[in-house]
Amino acid sequence: MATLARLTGVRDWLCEPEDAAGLRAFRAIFGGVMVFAVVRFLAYDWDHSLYAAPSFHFSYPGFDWVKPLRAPWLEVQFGVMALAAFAVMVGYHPRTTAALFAFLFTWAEFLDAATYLNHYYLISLLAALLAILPTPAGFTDRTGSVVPRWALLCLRVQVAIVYVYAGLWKLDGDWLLTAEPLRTWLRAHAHIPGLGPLLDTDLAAHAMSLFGAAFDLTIPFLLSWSRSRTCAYAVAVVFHVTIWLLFPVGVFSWVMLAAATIFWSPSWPRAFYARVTGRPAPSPTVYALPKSRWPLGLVALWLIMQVLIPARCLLYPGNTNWTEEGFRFAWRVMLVEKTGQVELRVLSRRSDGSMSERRVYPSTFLTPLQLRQMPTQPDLIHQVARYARAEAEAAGSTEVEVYADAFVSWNGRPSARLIDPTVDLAAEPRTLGPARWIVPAPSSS
Amino acid sequence: MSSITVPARWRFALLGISLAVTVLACYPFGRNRDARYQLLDAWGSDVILNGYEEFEVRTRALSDAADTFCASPDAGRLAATRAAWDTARGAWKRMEVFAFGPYGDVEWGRFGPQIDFWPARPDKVEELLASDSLLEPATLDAAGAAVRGLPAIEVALFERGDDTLMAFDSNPRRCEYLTAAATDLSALAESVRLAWTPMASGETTAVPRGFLLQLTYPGEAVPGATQLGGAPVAMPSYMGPQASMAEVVNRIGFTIENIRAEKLGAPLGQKTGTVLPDSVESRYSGRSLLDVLDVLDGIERVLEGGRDGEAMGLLDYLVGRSPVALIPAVRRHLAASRAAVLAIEEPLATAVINAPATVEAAIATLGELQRTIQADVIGTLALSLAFNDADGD
Repeated sequence: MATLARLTGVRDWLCEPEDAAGLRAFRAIFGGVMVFAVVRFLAYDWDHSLYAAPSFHFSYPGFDWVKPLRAPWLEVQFGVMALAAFAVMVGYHPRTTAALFAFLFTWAEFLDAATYLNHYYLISLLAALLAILPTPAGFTDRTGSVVPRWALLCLRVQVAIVYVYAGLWKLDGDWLLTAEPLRTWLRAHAHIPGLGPLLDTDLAAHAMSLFGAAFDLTIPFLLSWSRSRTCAYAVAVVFHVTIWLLFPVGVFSWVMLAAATIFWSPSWPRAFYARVTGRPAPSPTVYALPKSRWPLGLVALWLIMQVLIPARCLLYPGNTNWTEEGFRFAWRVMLVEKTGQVELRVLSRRSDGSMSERRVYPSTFLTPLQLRQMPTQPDLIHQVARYARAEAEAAGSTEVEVYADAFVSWNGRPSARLIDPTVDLAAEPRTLGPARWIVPAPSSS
Repeated sequence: MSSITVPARWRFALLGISLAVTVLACYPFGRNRDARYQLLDAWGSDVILNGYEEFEVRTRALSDAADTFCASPDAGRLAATRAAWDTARGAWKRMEVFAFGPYGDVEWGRFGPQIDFWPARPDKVEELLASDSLLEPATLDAAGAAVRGLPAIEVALFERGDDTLMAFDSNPRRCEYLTAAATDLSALAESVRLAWTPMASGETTAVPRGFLLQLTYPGEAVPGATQLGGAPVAMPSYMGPQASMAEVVNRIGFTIENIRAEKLGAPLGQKTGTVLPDSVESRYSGRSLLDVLDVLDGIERVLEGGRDGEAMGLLDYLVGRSPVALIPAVRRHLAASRAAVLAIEEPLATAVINAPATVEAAIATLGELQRTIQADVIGTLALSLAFNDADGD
């Protein structure tokens, strides 16, 4: 009975009304960043170079059927995506347009696994949440002045999960003890006057590594506490702007800064309005909200999944930074500098019964981006091997076997073999289970 | 609801920090402090411009030799012309790492296929000789890449083997073609050099000029010193020194792979499963392996520096920026690659049939060099970060 009472109390607390102004502003800021991101994507013609032009795409397990639309429908997809983002920004049917944006954006992301980015995954999640949650429309209270507290908390917990996991994964030897990959990356900025020589030192690499880990682990809590919120957000601005200046992270910093506004006071837009105009903003009309159970249940389920999915890498053997099993969708942000080189040996039976061996270089059918990503990700190498077999069989070859010579250098280590060269990679099934053909990381790891 | 005020001094301090970081990161000064710019400048002057100047000089010598031969054909002058072709060929092959910009971009002239259209097409040359077309450089330009450049001249000088002199004696149009093709090649060599060379102050031109500045002044528009189609170049090709370096270092990897896949692997049968001895480069002159060695020489210039290693090279840049073992490893693999290629007996077209193991060994040894460049060197310099199509994370 006491437990039930406590749970009822928690439910009542979660369902208490909060000012909708903050969520409305978050929706507008998120939508605005998304408009910028999609327009930028189109301006760089990435829809064509990443999705339409390549003859080969890396798929996610179970999603081989996701294909890019043919011209001009691919451009239409991105155009509608931009319009949907604009609609989210201005609050026109926000839940419907957020759902549309989430669908179109996620579809684009599933077109090629080589284009996976953590902040694009976060965008899909936030857009989906805006579609599920009671997101207020427009810019005024006419469409509703309060939202249940659980709606705000859901978004805050979602963003907090990103930061906390990003910080947890940084608690490893490479990041904390050898300050890699930051040491390698900072060296590229040694030309900056004043700061440059400092960035090229062990001290700077270690200091920034420690600060980065501490920032990720603490910022959601500092943003949640009213007494530290303003200072914490200022630090977040400096942190993310510095990241943007030093590293080619595109819209990552702006997405995170937009996402972090959800931690501000729910009434911050009213206070901002009052400060700017000198007039008091109208107070929200507070009224009791229905205490329906099912949204809370759905939100709880969602958040449980958001906690479990990133942790799945712990189920795989070996170092995740090496094997990359469970690496995606786990908020493993900027943890590795990996480069590699892969080529394939394709054996097949000739018509006279003898076996022939060809050497296939993936550069002949992959784009520069795919060629950069594939050698460091075993599941992508696996797909390339299967593709090579399919091509050989389509050309009339039989009994095709494909072996990979794959070498990777990561976080400053000498290159080492990644894939077992004696395993017919094309014959291995695509599963979510651990791959037996990944060579264990070198012992110095 | 209470509001939180941030003390004014904190606000000003944070604003100041943000502005300072922005200015320091964005302002394009610090060139003299950054060893990457020094490396790019060294590559530019001591490898790229020197290399294309050398090629231009060799093609003029080839043109002179062809004129001398055709004035009075004999075996000695034929041998001299062949030797001049061989020297010009070597100079071109040493620049193969720089097969970008003016080499392949249409807007910068796309000189690569005009100078080195491969595989050679003797049938196209014979077709032209049998026609009534006037045999002069302008005609060759219109006739297409298969009758221009080094491979086409190779056909004229070597394809008939011991009967070459007789072929020239029996058909005067062969000499007309040879002198026209050599003159055309010399003009192309000058054009590709000019395409790389920045314009001098006050100089005007209507041809592409100054691609080198795209590489050595990345992210900066250098007005007046670089032109494309008569207009100053507005948009830089590379966003910063990291991107410029990444271009060159990645090209080393691609060039080695090209040697393995196309120059050695394809004739050996590694590409199609069938041995194709006729697909070797420089098939008629028998310098297929010399071509490979010249390409490796070009790679060595990038690694060790031009002017026989006196200028700055990539390995100089790596000192203090890479694991201690990496630089010796690169040198070791380069030397081993050269030795493995030398172990193959010319002509390559015969070796792929009679001694395929030596060719396979060379491909494998070159693979070690390729891996060291693409996995270790690029990784230690974080050059993959600059080779972006999309955002990193």
